[in-house]
Amino acid sequence: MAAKRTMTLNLTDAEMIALEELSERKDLSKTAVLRQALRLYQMVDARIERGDKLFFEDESKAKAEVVVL
Amino acid sequence: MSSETIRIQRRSDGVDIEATLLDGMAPQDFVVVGNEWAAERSMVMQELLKSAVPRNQWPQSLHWDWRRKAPELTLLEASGFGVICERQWQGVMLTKTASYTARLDLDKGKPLVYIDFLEVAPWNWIIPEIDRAGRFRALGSVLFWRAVKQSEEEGFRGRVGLHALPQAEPFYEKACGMTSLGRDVAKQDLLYMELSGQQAAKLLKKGKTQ
Amino acid sequence: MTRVQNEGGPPHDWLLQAVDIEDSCRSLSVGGLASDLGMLVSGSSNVQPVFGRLIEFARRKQGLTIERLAERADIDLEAIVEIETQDRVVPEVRTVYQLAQVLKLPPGRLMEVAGLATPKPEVSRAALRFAARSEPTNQLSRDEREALEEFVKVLAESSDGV
Repeated sequence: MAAKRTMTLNLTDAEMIALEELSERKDLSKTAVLRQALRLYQMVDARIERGDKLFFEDESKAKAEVVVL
Repeated sequence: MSSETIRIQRRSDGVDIEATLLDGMAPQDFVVVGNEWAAERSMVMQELLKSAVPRNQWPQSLHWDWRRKAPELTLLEASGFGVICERQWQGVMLTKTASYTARLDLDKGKPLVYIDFLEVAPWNWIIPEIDRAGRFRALGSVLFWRAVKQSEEEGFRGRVGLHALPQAEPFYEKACGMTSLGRDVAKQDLLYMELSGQQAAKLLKKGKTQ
Repeated sequence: MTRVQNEGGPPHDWLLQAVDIEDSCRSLSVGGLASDLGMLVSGSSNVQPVFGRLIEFARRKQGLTIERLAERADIDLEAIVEIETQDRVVPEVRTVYQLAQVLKLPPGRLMEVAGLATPKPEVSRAALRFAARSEPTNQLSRDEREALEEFVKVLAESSDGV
């Protein structure tokens, strides 16, 4: 793995709770959750920059909602 | 970039040769792979045509071009792994860590390492119909194991997912112990397979007992 | 960039049994069959069967033999014979690019006709019209010449300079 640097992060209580919940549900450390979030954000952003669209589909695949980032 | 020294077997004399397993391949490395492998792909194709080998028996990745995958490596979630031996890329893999999550019931929604592309150099393919025995062994196994290790390093407990080409299905099922989760319409009907954290632990533990 | 050198590799006992299974498989490849890296799935494109005919016509229009075209484009003779005579060939990217250069066709659009890229709707339509009007013969009839010219015109017009 590549060398890493440390930074301090200021989060509100609500943000910290959300991070803890995700960390629990995804079975990941808090750092790993934030790393995943960054990867996902960068990937989605790169595809939208390229002109792709991001959709969410419901179970029946009937409704699609366009997501803008 | 980091690397580890491994040994792979040369088929011609059965001798184990020192090779380097690299992670952190750069986009330009994929371009080199694409260029280096293209001539050999073309030779394989001509030999297959000459020997009138039925199309359904051709290696299913015969026409891949890694140069087209080079831009993907600029993404944070993407990693390129490759094995170098005798100054040539012998096998290459592209993995992703954010685009896919686990589908197995027990792990559903949890992150995994998704093997986006994995291929062994064309001169290592075994194609009896055209007398090709392959130069080096075990490249697929080594690369798959590397993906499991990446998953462990990432804190994903060894979970790995992939869509295998039909000819490769038995390998991932029998040799790697992956669970098949059915054909995926969104992925050209390829079989989706997943290695759970538990299955991965078995594979990684095997190493510690020896 | 720093390089960390470690001794390693997969567990020996696992590798021993995995390798035997690996050897019994024709391919170990993981990934998309058609769209991502250029491998064609039969029936994946409706323009691709006209690729061979387009190459043949464009070659004959320039008065080139297959041998001569192979030489100029630096492609193996067999590859061109296969492209021209078989319905669903799987040309390589380089082959298509080289053919485009010699036959003066827009490479980006030719990739689409070859099935190596998703064809634009106008290319699909033009390919169908071309297929309907052309038959492989030794010499181009007037109608075939017109059909070819019309197809090439559409390819050139929709070319975005790739």
